[in-house]
Amino acid sequence: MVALLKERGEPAGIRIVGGAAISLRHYERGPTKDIDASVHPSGPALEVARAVAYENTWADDWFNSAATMFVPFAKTEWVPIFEDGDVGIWVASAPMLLAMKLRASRPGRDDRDIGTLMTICGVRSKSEAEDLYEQFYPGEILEPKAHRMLDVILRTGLPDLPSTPPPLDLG
Amino acid sequence: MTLDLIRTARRTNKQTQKALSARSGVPASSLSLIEQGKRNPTLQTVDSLLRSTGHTLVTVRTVRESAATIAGRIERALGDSRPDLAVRHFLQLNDNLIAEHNEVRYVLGSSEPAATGVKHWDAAIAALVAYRLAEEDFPAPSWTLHPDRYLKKRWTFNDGLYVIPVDTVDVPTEFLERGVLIDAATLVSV
Repeated sequence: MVALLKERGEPAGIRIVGGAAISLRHYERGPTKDIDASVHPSGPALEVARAVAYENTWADDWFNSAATMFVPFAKTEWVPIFEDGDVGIWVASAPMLLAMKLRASRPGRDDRDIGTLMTICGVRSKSEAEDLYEQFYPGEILEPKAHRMLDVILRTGLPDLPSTPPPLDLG
Repeated sequence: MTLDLIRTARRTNKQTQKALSARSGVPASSLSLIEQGKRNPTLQTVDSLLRSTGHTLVTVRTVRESAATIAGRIERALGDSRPDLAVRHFLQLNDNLIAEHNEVRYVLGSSEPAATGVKHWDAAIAALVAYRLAEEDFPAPSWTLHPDRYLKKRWTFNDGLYVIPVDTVDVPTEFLERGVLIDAATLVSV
């Protein structure tokens, strides 16, 4: 997609959240079939995304903005993973991803990521998790589902610090 | 893809490679290589092998993977001791079914997947297909109703690291009756 954007001379700023952000920058978590991202300007980039889908026989929605509605409203943190002047790609920071995952707290789906992100962020207690959450979503408190998840995670123990994926080579 | 098709069809028909080889006339050594993805068979060979398992090729207008194909991925993830990847694949099947509608959704769920070797995953896959097809007013495919797809002892959906308790009122019927405790919120695609 980056190659095609550059070839067409289309500038784009891509901000990735969710599982793709985790896999690209923070730790290995298996293959990701789609990318949740916001992109600006969106029109030409989404056209390029459709061309990439066609070329690779992927589903059209492999590049979508469904999860960006959950991006924190008070504070965001983005880590650059690619910049060449015209095209820039950023992924959500580990603390921001942790806050987003705590907000979702889907049993069996978010717990491993929450535990791993807590290890990466050095969050060792429920109160530290609440403090981090409030930085991104001020005025909100962690829902009971998040408390239930944190109780199990802290009782079971946090995972070891994972290795960081190698830097992205997009030519 | 070919290896998944043939291997899944053979296993759901409860045939050994030797039996399929004898019935189709494809040498056992070739069949083994085809199923391992080390040999690309001709379309004629694929057709012959599938017919010898009682299956036929159909095409459907989607590039999303079916329940049968994804069950194969789940089986391999479990074989590699990666239940976390099994969860990812399971959620991908959920997203695939949500993304398609009408006959396409039905076709993605209609072919019986081979057993994964882990009963609670077999029940979870059946429950997911029945759940998503019911949303479109389709009957559950017969394979999802097989007794092997129902657990005697309940299992809470998890990826092997943490087991988060789930309240049964939050579990969709198709999962609850098969003994798979998964929160409906876990299946919401974002």
